[in-house]
Amino acid sequence: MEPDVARERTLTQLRRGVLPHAVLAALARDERYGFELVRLLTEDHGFSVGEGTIYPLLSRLRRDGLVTTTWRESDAGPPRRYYRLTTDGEHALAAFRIEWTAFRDAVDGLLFPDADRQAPT
Amino acid sequence: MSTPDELITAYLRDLEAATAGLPPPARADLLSDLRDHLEEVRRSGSEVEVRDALDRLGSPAEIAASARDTEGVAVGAAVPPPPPPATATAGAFTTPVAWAEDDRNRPSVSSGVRDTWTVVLLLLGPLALAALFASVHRALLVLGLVVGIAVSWALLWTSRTWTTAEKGFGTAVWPGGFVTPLVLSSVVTSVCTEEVLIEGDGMPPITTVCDGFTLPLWLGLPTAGLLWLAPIAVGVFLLHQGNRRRAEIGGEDRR
Repeated sequence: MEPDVARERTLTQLRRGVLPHAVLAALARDERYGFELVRLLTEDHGFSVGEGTIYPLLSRLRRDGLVTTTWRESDAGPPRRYYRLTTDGEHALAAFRIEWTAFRDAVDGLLFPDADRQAPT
Repeated sequence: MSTPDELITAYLRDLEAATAGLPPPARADLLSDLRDHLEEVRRSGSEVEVRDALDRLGSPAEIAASARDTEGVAVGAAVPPPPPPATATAGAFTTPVAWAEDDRNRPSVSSGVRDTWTVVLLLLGPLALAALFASVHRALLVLGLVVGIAVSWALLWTSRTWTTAEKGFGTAVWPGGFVTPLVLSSVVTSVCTEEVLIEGDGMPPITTVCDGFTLPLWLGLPTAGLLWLAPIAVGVFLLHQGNRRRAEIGGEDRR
């Protein structure tokens, strides 16, 4: 029981650490509204985030100028606030891709010393 | 049963309380974003949709915790520092403490039934008890009067409904309620009794005897009227004030 709890906690910490950039990446191609973003991250990418986590994060990213919002009519229902990347957001995402690759390689090198850079991607 | 508007208003109010510890710009942005989001939900919907949306958001305390977490993370850092436990605790307790303070500050009044009984006893209690005690023994009349006054005054002054000034009115007009006009009106109006005097000696056999001092009829009747009407007016006034205050507080409770 105890190791499972610890492992789960580690994964939660890891996901939480990359969540801001995961959000940036999720907005890189399409603009999305809050609930849509939550569904994408949860159902397609294994993040366990709720709207209660996403909205504070989006607020923060918007204040940092990485994300901007527009009100748009949705296909069905009332106008919604859509989030999309700013140029600064794109730069931050590009920088993180490089950092992430270096970080992943460093961790892979420790975790799979014999794999000779053949670690699963 | 709450309307969607009330649910959202209450939620935002709790969220404001729960996020009190955030840096002001972060807090303002977060509140404004969530206000917008909930406004979307409100326009789209029914009570059920609003409840669903609030459930998905989680409790205000949870949002506040996420926000503290997020504010602590610089975008670019791989792993966020754990949230400072002291702040998390403060956040988790913000809302209940705010409610508790609300309860303390909420004005309270005594129940309508109690207030009505108080007024009825102020007017009729001493009279009724005096009559009851006197029916047991004539000498107990005064005791009944005193007990009646004491009970009605005790109820009046321990009530949470009225102000001190209002309680003063209730006490002063009149001590003993209707006993006062009953006793006094026989004095101030010229109510005299005819007595048949048995003794002869040249005196007329029937004479009119008046007790105490008397006022002429033109002054005595209005005075007696006022004596009876004043406690009724005070009683009605007290009941009216009580109903008004209960209505105000009832209105606040229904949120």
